[in-house]
Amino acid sequence: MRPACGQGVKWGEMMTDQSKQGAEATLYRPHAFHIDDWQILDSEAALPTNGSYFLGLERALDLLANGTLSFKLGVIVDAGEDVTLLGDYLDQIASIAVHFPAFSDGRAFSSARLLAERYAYRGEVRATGAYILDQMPMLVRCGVSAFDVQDPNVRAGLERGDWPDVTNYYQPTGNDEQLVNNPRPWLRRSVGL
Amino acid sequence: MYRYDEFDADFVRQRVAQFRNQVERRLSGELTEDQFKPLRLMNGLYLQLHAYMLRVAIPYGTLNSRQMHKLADIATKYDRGYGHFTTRQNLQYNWPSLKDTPDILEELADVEMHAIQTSGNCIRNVTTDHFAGAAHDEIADPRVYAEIIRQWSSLHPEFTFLPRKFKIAINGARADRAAIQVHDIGLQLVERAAGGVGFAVYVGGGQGRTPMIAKKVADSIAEEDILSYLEAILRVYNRYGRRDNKYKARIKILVHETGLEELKSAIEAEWANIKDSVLKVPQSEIDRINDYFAMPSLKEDGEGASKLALTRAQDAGFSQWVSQNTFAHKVKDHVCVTISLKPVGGVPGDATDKQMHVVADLGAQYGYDELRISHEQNIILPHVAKSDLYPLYQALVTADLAEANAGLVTDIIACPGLDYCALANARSIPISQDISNRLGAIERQKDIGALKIKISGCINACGHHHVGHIGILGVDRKGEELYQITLGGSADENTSIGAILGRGFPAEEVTDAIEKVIDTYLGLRLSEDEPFIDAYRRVGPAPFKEALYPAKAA
Ligand code: HEM
Ligand code: SF4
Repeated sequence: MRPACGQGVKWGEMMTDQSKQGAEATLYRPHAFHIDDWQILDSEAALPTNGSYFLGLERALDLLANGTLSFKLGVIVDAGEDVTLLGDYLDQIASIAVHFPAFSDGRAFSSARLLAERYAYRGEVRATGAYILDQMPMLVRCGVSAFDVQDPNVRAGLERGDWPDVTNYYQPTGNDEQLVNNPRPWLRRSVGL
Repeated sequence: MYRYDEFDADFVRQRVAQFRNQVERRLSGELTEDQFKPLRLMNGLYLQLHAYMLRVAIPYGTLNSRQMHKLADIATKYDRGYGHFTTRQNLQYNWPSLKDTPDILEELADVEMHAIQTSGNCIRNVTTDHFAGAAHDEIADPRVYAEIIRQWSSLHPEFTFLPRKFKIAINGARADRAAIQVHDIGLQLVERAAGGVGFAVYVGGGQGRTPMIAKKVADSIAEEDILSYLEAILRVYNRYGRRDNKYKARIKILVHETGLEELKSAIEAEWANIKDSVLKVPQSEIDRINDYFAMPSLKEDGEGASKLALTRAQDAGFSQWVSQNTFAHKVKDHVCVTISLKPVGGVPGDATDKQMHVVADLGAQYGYDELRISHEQNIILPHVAKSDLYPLYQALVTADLAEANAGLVTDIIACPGLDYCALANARSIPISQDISNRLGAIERQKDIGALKIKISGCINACGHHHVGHIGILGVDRKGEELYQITLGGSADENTSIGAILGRGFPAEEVTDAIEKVIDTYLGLRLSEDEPFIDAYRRVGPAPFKEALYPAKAA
């Protein structure tokens, strides 16, 4: 489920018991690490008949246009790839991974926002790759709802409860209706924490 | 001027707390310099040749005396007693220690200032005309929109990791004093056919190693659409700007490689999707911000003009200062005053803590508490009554701040260069000082007339050499510092990029070469009313080449 971004939920606040989850729990959603039950389908491998699998964009598009889905489909959108190509198929896609080849490559921010705002996509949007802790609050504001955590620094920060957000926002982003209706001052909003 | 409300104040405080945590993590060794770098850059903290350098934003160059006093106090307490005003309307401290930087930011927050987005690949401090709100030739006050854009761009969650830094400049007058055509986005306020004001939008200007003049992408965007239009440009840039080579990552390269028409249609297509979103700026908001920038209630100064004429007749130095350092105001009995930070032989843009205090006090006493920093690295008092000019001048003389050279040949822009900057090839400051000493006699400066010399210590062009009437660029040739001279650049409404004249000169010959260029101009100008740039445009580079490289011409 897509968490309402920032609505009283402090993402970084860990429920202590869950923070003790083992290192195999690599999928971070608000408050906790989870076991990731998704796999990445090898580009050479045959299509599976069940389970949850991520495909590369090109193969996914081919499948969506010509085939039938027999498994839960996720799509990896690399930084240089055009997320809007998925626009017609979003109801068939359970998760979209927006990838960071380097933390400084901010294209995933735009991909996530397009999904959330232009297409009102309600499936999971997960960040993967080389993002850093300090980008996570902004990614959530752009519509990211889960994080594949591989970097020990990110993990250490989250386990400590760090969530380096500035909670006064000058821009409405994501698909949070509250932002839209916020009367005055214009557009701004602080997340009451 | 704009005043923080609780929301703004809290925003900045949170940002300071966030940064303090990051600095603590760095000091404890939890963060390596590599990991810390992107974080400190988001708060204007650079690592330079000798020390950290902290860049403080002066949004659209506007500040009050309380803020200026604070900048001075910080220079005393955490630096070596001075600060450097930059061409981007910022202030740089060259010697802060890392552990002090959160405290500095905290003190800045006390006076509604910060260092957010003064570095990093994000939307930087929006710059504008230093006479904004006061100039006689103004269509609308650009600071209002600069503030709206500042708020929209502050920690924008989508646009904080752009391919490269992004600079927006906005001009509200008929003359362009904000150099908008050499910015990533330049906005020119225009009167709309349908009534009201709007923006002509220019995209893809820039300096650096590939100087380019911005191209116009829209003639007249309505006020209410400005944020959605900017957001459309930024999104296209974030998605399609090059990231494989940092020297090709600015939006100017995207414009150049994609072609204007194609890029324009990409922007239009993106804009069509978001035009009618929450980004539409309500008139009430424009009015609300406008109120902050209302003209102070200026005193009646009916006698001012005649008193001024009288004092000018009695004091030639004062008279020279008035003709050079004042600019026509909207209201007849007032003027805009330029306080030169270019004493002959001094360091362009440097101000000591003492000078900052003096200027702050004078701003409070004679300037309705308003001060500005210009991109030409001077301080401006935008509103001064004519009868206050003489006491103001006398106080400036006492503080060594009365150089009557605004717009003249010694009003040089220079970057920090090899004296401070880790990227430099060559020194800029001593070159500037030497030229200034050589040409500094006031009679000579008056004779030469309007002339902009701009000096950069490397191709990054922080000193704007590409758009100097005379540009000087430090280059490194096999370990030797050489200086290339370019002529014919300009950053006003007729923006042009200067052309390189020929091989570079070693440091000790630069001033001679500049003098030759100027003497050549003096010899060929049609009259005293033909300024250097017009003469150059008329005759081209040939006579100057002959003067500098006689052997080749023979
Ligand atoms: C001392 C530390 C400084 C460093 C390390 C530095 C670094 C740079 C770099 C790398 C660029 C080129 C960026 C590009 O073209 O993509 C640049 C451009 C620029 N810098 Fe600096 N700079 C410094 C100081 C300054 C100062 C003191 C000023 C103002 C006087 C300044 C104003 C500018 C401007 C106006 C540009 C313009 C060109 C453009 O962006 O198109 N910088 N700087
Ligand atoms: S132009 Fe070069 S030397 Fe000068 S401040 Fe910029 S980066 Fe440094």
